[in-house]
Parts: sequence; structure tokens; C-alpha cells
Amino acid sequence: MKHEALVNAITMLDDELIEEAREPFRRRIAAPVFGFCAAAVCAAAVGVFLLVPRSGGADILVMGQELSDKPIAICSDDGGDSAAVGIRAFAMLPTDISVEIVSSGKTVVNVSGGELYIVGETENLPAECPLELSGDASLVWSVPLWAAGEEYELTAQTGSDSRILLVSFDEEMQEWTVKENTQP
Amino acid sequence: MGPVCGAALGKGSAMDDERILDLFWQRDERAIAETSAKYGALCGKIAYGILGDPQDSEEIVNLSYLRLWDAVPPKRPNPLPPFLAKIVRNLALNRLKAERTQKRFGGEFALSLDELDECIPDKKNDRGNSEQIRDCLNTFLKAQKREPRSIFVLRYFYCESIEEIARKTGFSESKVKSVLFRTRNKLRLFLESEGISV
Repeated sequence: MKHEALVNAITMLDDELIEEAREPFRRRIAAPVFGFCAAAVCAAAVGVFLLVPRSGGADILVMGQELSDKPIAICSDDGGDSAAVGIRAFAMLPTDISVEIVSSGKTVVNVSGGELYIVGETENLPAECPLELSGDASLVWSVPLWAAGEEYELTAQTGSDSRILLVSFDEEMQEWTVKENTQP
Repeated sequence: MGPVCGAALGKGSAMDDERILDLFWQRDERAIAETSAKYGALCGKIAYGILGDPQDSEEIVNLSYLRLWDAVPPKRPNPLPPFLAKIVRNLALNRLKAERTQKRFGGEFALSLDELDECIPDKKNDRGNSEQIRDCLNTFLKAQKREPRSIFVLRYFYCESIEEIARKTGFSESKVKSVLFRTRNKLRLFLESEGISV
């Protein structure tokens, strides 16, 4: 049989995982209200952000915060699940970073590592890089934060202006962070 | 799901598992009837998901009850449902292997197997140690949030369709597909990082 070892491994999964899957899920009744509120907050954030005069290049929000040279801590949104708490210095699995690009022109996005997903469009498949965007876009950058020595960059080039997001491990904060790389 | 396992799909009973196990231990044949009444639908779904054939599925479910009868005692599985589900899955997979030689297999399992194809880090080396992979899978899944974890198990252990999972979770079908896709991608990377080639 095709991939018999994997099929057999799934058959031998821990009982607790098999049991848990049969338990009822929390129904998402409140989702529309929550979604509306979240969308409103995002829209307000983007609106305020757009009102602020900026230098050239696309405007970028990382996890809802304006990108600057001030590091933004990346925290696992575990939702209370203990096993997934805190990627901190080492994460076994790729971490998703939401990146909002606000641009009136064409922006070319490239990454030095990880995978890019366009929210709502090619959510099921990673986008091909370099990725050309015409206007605003919501992206998810899935980055493997496995070794504290690693650094990853996302470059957003709009015309002759470019902005660079740098993901690195901040020794002082003892956290993975995103910040704007202003060094040439 | 199709009309699976007519006689094996009893309904309505909710006898306590401890009491069912007592019946097995007392070699009381009502144990099988009670198991069928309580877990027939679950077993039928698993078997049908793998085999895609109602008649074969019914046979497998009934055979599973006999295997359970043989296993208990000496065993006293706690919890009972995963133990039974694994018996059904194993028997159905064995049947599938036999059927495959006759080129007649299908069902939700064939689809889910195609999806899992992308988790295989090294397709040239189609061998691996099931126990090692199981340990990795357990570690990987326990590090996931509850929803993607259970969606993965529903799809690849219970062989449930995307539609069924969407109904259970309250997600849209495209959301379920997306969650599965991302979980498989993460699993592939995880297996690679563990040096596993399946």
C-alpha cells in the first residue's frame, strides 16, 4: 500500500487524540459578531495609519502594528492550548506572521525564507516569490523559527522604494521579533 | 456516507463502557449487541471511509466485534472507543490491501491518502518505521491547537469527508481544506526536521 508506514502510524495514534477528535467542537456562533468587530478594528487601524504622512514605499502593518525599527514581539496565538504556548527561543513548527501591505501602486514582495500566503486568494497554496501585488494585500508569512541564530527578511519594493521586515531572535527580549531593517 | 452496516448500526443505547466491558469479561454475548448499539455507527463510518463499500464495511465491523470479544479479556481497554476504532481501522486496511490486488478500492480513504502524499519528505524511500513516525505524529499533533489537531484526526484516522468535518466544526468546507493543507505542510516540515522519510 502507498505510504504504508504513515498509514500505520496514524492507526497507532495516541488514544487521547482519537478520543478528543470525537468531542464536540466549540460552535462558532459568535463568529460573525467577532469577525465584524475585528474587521472594524482593523479598518480603523488601517485608516488611521493611512492618515499619517509617510515616506516612500508601501505601508506595512505587522500583526496589526505599524512596522518600524522598534521590535514587535512575535507571540504564539495559542488560544490557551498549553502545548502550543510560547515559541520564544525555539519553535518546532513554522510560525505565521500576518503582514498587511497598504500601497496604491505595484509592490513586489520577496522573502529570504519561509512561505508567503495571500489571505483569501491562494490561502491553500504558498504564493510564488517574488510576488507582485497591485494595491493593498493581506499576507501570511509562515517562517520556520527553529534556530535563534537565523534571520529572515521580507522585502516589499514599491517603485524605487523598498521596506524590509527583519525577523530575528532578540537576545535582550528573549523573543523572536519583527522590525524594520533600516540598514542598507 | 452511504447506507453502511445495516445490522451493525444499532442506535439509541448508551450503556456505560465499564458495564459493556463487564459483559465482555463475563463472556456475555450481550456485550457485542451493546457495543454495536453504542459504537456501530462510529465503526461503520471508519470502515466505510476506508473501503467505500457498505457490504465490506458491515463485514469488517462485525469482524471487529469478534476481535474485541477475543481481546477482552484479558484486556480491559480504557477508553474503549479508540481501542475499537483501531481494530476497525486495521481490519479495514488489511481488507483494502487484499482488495487492492483486485483493483477495487476507493472511498474517502483513497482521497485522504492522496492528500497525505504531500507530507512524504522522500518519496523515493518509501519505507519507514511506523513506531518512529507515530511518535513524531503524536508529538506534532499535541503541539497543535485543538481544532487543527482534531480536524487532522477526523480526516486521516476516522476518514471523515470534508463536508462532515465542516458540519462538526462549524467551519466552511474551504476553511477545513485550508486547515488540513496547512497542517500537512507543517507535518511535512516537522517530519523532515526529524529526519524521517516515510
